[in-house]
Parts: sequence; C-alpha cells; structure tokens
Amino acid sequence: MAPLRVIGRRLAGAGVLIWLAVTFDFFLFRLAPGNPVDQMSRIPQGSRQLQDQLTREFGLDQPMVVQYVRYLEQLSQGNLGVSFVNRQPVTDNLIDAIVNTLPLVGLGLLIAIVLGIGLGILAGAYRGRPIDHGAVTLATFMYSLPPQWIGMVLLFLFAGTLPTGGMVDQFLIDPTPTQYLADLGRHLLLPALTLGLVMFGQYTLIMRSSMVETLSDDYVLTARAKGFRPRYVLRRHALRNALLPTVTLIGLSIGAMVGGAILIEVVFSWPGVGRTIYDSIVARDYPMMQGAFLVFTVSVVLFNLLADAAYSLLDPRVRRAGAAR
Amino acid sequence: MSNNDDVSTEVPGAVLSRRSMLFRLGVGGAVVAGLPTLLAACGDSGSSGSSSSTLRIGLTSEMDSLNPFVQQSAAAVIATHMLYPTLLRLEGDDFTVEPDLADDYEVSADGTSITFRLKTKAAWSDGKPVTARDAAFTINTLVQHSGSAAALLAQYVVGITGAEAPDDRTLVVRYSEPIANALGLLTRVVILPEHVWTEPASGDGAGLKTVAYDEGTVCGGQFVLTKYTPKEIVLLKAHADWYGEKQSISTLGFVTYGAPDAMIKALEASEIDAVALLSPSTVGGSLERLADRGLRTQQAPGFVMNNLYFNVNPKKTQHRELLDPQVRRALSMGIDRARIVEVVLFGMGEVAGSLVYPAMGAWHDDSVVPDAFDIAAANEILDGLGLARGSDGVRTAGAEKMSYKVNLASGLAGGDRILQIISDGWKQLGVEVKPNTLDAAAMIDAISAPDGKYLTNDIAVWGFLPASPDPSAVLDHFITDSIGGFNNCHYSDPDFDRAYVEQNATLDVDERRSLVYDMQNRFFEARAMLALVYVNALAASGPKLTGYQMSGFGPFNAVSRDQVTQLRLA
Repeated sequence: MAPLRVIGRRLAGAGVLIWLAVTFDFFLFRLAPGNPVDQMSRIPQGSRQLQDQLTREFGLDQPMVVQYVRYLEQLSQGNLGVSFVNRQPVTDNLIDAIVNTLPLVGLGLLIAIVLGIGLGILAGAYRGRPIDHGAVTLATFMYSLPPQWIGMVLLFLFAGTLPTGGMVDQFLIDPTPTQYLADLGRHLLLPALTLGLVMFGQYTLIMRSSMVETLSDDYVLTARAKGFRPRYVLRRHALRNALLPTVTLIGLSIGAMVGGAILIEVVFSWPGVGRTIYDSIVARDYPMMQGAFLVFTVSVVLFNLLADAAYSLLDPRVRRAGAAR
Repeated sequence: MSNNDDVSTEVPGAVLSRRSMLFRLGVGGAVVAGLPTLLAACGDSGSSGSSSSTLRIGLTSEMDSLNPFVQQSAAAVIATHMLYPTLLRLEGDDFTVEPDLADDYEVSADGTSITFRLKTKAAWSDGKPVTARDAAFTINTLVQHSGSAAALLAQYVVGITGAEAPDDRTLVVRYSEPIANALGLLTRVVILPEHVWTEPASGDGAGLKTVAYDEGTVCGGQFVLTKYTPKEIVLLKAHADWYGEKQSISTLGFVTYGAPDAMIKALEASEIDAVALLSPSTVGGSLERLADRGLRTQQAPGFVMNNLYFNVNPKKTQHRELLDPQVRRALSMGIDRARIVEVVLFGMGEVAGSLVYPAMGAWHDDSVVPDAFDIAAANEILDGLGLARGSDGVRTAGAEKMSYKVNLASGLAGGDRILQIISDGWKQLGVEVKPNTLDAAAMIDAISAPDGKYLTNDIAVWGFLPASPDPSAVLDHFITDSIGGFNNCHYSDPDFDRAYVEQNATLDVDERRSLVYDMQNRFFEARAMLALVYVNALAASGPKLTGYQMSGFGPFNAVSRDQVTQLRLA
C-alpha cells in the first residue's frame, strides 16, 4: 500500500477517534450530577430569575443535541468557547496552563525514562539475580504508590531547602533570564521528581521484559558464540532491539504530558493543565472541561501516531509488514 | 481596562503576553534539555523581591477572578476589596460601621435615604479624582443589572431605588423602604471608576462580566494591582494616592496553594509570612509543631458553622417519619456535639444551637442551647412514637427501615469524622447512616433532587460561611424564597418569612434584636436544620508580623480592611 494512503488512513482513523472522544466527553460532562448554574446561583437571594438568566447565558436552555451541534460548529472554527467561571476564552486559559505544564511533565518524564530504562536494562541483564529482584520490587512498589503521597513526603523532607509550591518565586523583581531559569529549576525539582518516581516503574518493567526476551534471541546467542564481550553484545545487539517497545510507551507518555499530572500539580500548587482540569470539574465549567479533554485527546492520538511512525522507521520488519499489507 | 503596552493575546488585559509566553516556553524547553546546567544554577536563584515591607499571604482558595461581577471565591473578594474604595467599612471585633471613602453620612429620619459626604483627596490610579459620580454610577449599575450581569452583587443593593450625585462630594442613596442593615451592606459595595466601566455597563451590561484584570487596571483602593496570575498570585502595591491611613506595607501578595499542608510547610520555610485562614480540623493536630518553629497561631470565634439538614418538604416521597419534629429532636439528642468539637476541631470551636452565631455578638440568643446528648431520652422519644427496632436492631417507620443515606459535602473539613460521630450516636438509637460523599455541584443536585423538587433527599451534612456579620446573612438562608438556593431543608414557614421582612426593615436595634431572637427560637424548635458546631477562625503567621489581628472571618477578609491597615512588619 502506498505510504500516502497509509498515512491518510491513519489520519482519518485519528479524526474519527477524536470526534468520538469529543462527543463522549460532551454528553458525559452534562450527564454527570451537578451543573454550573446551580452552583453559581447559590448566593444569598439568588433567584429563579438569576438561574434562568445564567442558563440562557451559557446556552444550557437549548436541547442537548442543539448544544452539541453548536459546540461542533464552534470547534470547526477553532473556537473552544468561553469559560463559565472567569469568562475568558478557553483557549487563552488552556495555553497558559499547557505552557506551565510542559516543563514539569517534560522533566518528570525525562527522569522516569532515564531511571526506568537504566534499571530495566540492569534487571534484564542480571536476570534472576538480586539486582533484578531489587529493581522489579522497587519499580512495582513505586508504581503502586499514590503520586500525591510521594509528593507530600518529598515536600515534608525538602521544605526549607527547596520551594514548596508554585512555579516561580512571584516576588522576584525583574529577574534576569538566568535567575528566572534557576528559580524555575528549583521549583521544578520536587514535582518533577515526584512524577519521575511515579512513572519510572512502568519503563523498568517493560524494558526488563524486553531485554530478557531479546537476550534469548538466536542472533544474541550467535554473537556470544562468536566470542564478543558480554557488554558489547548487550550494547550493540540486545539493547537496540529491546528499546523498541519503550518507544511506544514514550510516545504515549509524551501524549499524556499535556494532560498534566493532576494530583501532583495540586500538591505542589503548580498552575498547569492538571489543576485546570481539576478546578473546571469542581466548578462544572463545561467549556473548560471540553477544551482541556479535547487537547488531551488530540495530544494522545497525535503522539500515538508519531510513535507508530517512529516504530516503522526504527524497525525495518514493521516497515516491510506495513508495506506488504 | 488595560493600560498595558505589551503585545497581548486577543483578550484585552489577558494575563500572559505572547512575548512572555514564548519566553516561558523557551525556558521550559531549556529546563528539560539542560537539567545539569540548571541544577548547577540552582544555587544562584537571584534575590527575592520580598523585602521587609512585603507581606506574603498564603491562601488555599483559588482566586477565580478579580472582576467583582464574576468572582465567587472568598479569596478573590478579599483582593478586590483591597483594590477599590468603599463608602463605609467595618472595624474592630464587633464590626462597627465606620466611614471610609465617605467623610461622614446622614440617614434620613424615615430611613429611606442616606446622604454621604465624600473625601476630597481620593484619586484613581490613573490620576483622575474619585467622585460621588463614580459611587452613584456603581450603585445605579448594580441596581439596573441586579437581575442579570450584577446578580452576584444584588444582595448588597437590596431596596435601593437609585443613587444621585448633586456634586462631586455629595452622594444620595435612596431606598424604597428602610433597610436595617443598609450601612452594613454598603460596606460590601466596591466603588468602580465610571470612566472605565461605563462602556462595559452599557446595554444589557453583559460586558461587566468580561472585564479582565492586569497591572494596568485602574484602581482607587488601599492597593493597586501589579500582577495577577490566576492559580498563582495576586500582587498588589500600596496606592500612593490612597485617601486612608498611611500603611507600613508597600507590597501585598496573595499566593495560592493547592493543599493546606503545602501552605503550612511554606509558612514554616518562610516562603510566606502568614496564612489567611486555616481549618482547625486540618491543622489542629499540628499547632504545637508550628509553635515550636516560632510560628504564631491565633483563633477567634468564627463564622463557619457545620450543620445537619433534614429535608422537611411535606411532599417528600420517602422516609416521611423525618417530617415529624419529634423524630428530628430525638436524632438531635443522639448527636454528641461536644465530641465533634473535641475530636474533629481539636477543641477549637463550640457546640452549636442557634442559627445565629455567637460571633455575631448581641444578635446571638444565648438561651438557644443545643439538645443535650442523651441516648436514653432519645430512645424514649422514638419508642414512644412507635418506631420499633427490627431483629437487626434498626428501627422501622411504617414499611421503611430508619436507614438513611446521608449526603456529605466532600469539601467540609473533617466531614467524614463528623459523620462517623453522628453515625456512632444514631446506631445506639437504632438508626443507620449510609454516607454518600459528594462534591459541591453534586451535593446541590442531590439535596434538591429530582429537578429542584426536593423529594428524594433525606439528610445532608454541610457547612456555611455568611457573607457578612449581620444576622440577615444567615436568616435569609431559610426563608421560602431561598428554596432552590441556600435553603437545604426546603424549610418554609410564613411566620418566619414575615419576621425576616420585618426585622430587615426595623431600624430600632432593640426591636430588631427581639425579632431576630424570636426567629432563632422558632427555627431551632422546628429542627429542620441541626446546628452542630461553630468553628473557630484559625490563622497562623511568621515572626515578621506584628499587629496581626484576628476576627471571626480571619485576619484577611472581605468584610474589613482594618486588619491589613494595622499590620506592621518587623
């Protein structure tokens, strides 16, 4: 099949997936208990008139199908709507949050990848030995811990040495780029480390099982039989192939980056997408919820596609199988 | 609204310019790519701008918006009250009304008009004078759009027919009838600059809600805005042309924290100087640790009340035995309120009886005392009503077991422990509790289900904080008109409604107090809502502050700016 057709088919599939997610989210949010009007009109002497006025203002007086069609029309023009809570465009609110989230999740992911893959390689290479058992136990243990708990523990341990919350010291006066960078880095360490500690386990486990599988392949045995040193075999023959499954995981993780890390952002008062999603759900701010989840969906689908493409580039067998279909 | 020259995104006054956004994106990328360099640089983070005249206050409540027509978060209201003048203010522990922008005022003999003489020195941050015309414009805008764009503020202009400014210093506010708390309500009205808000207020006033805030926003209060980053900070600097008493604080920052524990750690680490308000149930166990670290905690009788609400709608479809006040009285006697104070509030509170708080001073009727915890007497009442126990020990009423789903607000600090104590007591009465924890939006839905008809809810546990120290601020929760709003019980009593209107229009304080006492007693006897505990206001500060004053609303609140004015930094 011609590459263009493959790409076209994948993109069309991604489009359908996004539409399905958008539709599901739209109805799910409205069917969940509670609504924004009841919350906002819950004020002293909040009248029925106020409720009606807010319902009209938010367009919630229309049948749900009409609201849905209007939402799709709006989306098709690139308009995510206006937040019910602060009456500012959803796009602006989200851009701020995404810009804030990327450094946190980016660094957290980097820690997770480096730590996870490193431990996974060691565990796979020393299969059945104490280092293997230790790595697997540690990875499983850390992966099972609630992120907010790890965050609180780190916060209690390092408060006073590192900042406890926020993205930067808001009281810095006209910081130079270097000062800003250093300050951001200090604020970034604890939440990113928390995220890294939560996430690295999955990389360790996948990398380990991939290494174990690869190390028992015939070509690895052949290389050993040829008399190559074990470290050389591990690095040049086993590692490259064993890394392939982690490419998919990295792709998915990068896609999920935009979604932030809700509980970690709450614990560390990080003004990112995670907190935005949390706050918008609490307030039943439908436009913000729809916008945030749309960005999240698009990001996951897009990076999944890119991971697939990277997989084909890295593994000729996948490329050939795709071309043969 | 904005005087910001930076290249902003399409919304005027948007908080993040494209230039700074690109800078931050670039910085974010650099951080991810260059971790080692970054770590090396960590030792040189530059000097913080916090000087001896900078006060940093931690909050856990998010600043939803600084726009008074939109904001609902208490923290945001506090900040907005720092930005704008008010005609009057509340001062001291007893919240006495004092002139603020007004030099003096005079209430007409019939109580239907108030004439204010304003200060001459007041100026907006753009240099234009604050005049009576600004005040008249603000009040008339609130009245004109009270049913729509200004609905959130309509409660403060109740009864006002209009305001006029015969000259720059004179303001006359007219009422359709006397309002007992008219002066108190006017302390909540922030005066807006007419020359900025005229356009948003035009037409249907929809523009009032879309005004955004940034460092160029024209203000005229104690402070002006220098930085506003939602979910992060509101940074204010002292307004050079403020008409009030000169203050020692030049910069005031409200920093938002996602978790109370993180905020306390920040205070311990001197990242902030004070925290606005803490929940005793959250930090009550760690007060000694705070004291050991040189932090000071202060408390005062507060305005948070935790309650249990019965649905008393006569049309309710299930558990109709709860419509019987005797059953509700027995259940009230099965609640160990003292244990709630001791266990949940760590002793920082008081058992509650009346709807009107002790913190409201003379308006609270001491004779309204909560039902004593008395399991034997409560069982006697239930037995006498023929509510027999089944084989499992749970009583039955008609064909239904007295087993109740109790809706519990997840945001109620210590709510799960409160419900556990209630459940322990009621178990001894043969009454079963099934907790159902919900967030605020779902809670409102559940209480009024289905579709606002109040038919299926039985019992809810929640708390509330009134907007002002006037008794009307709580009494109005239970008038018939508040069904669909704060009236969680669907309580409807024509005599209570009449008394509410009457007390609201009674200018004689003693006469009004008598009416308020009658209402408290009447509401207590109905036991539609069981007041459980009054929660003390609790706050903490670092060693840098002196003159830190507590009130029932906490040291920093939207009711009074007095506390901030009195603060001094070491």
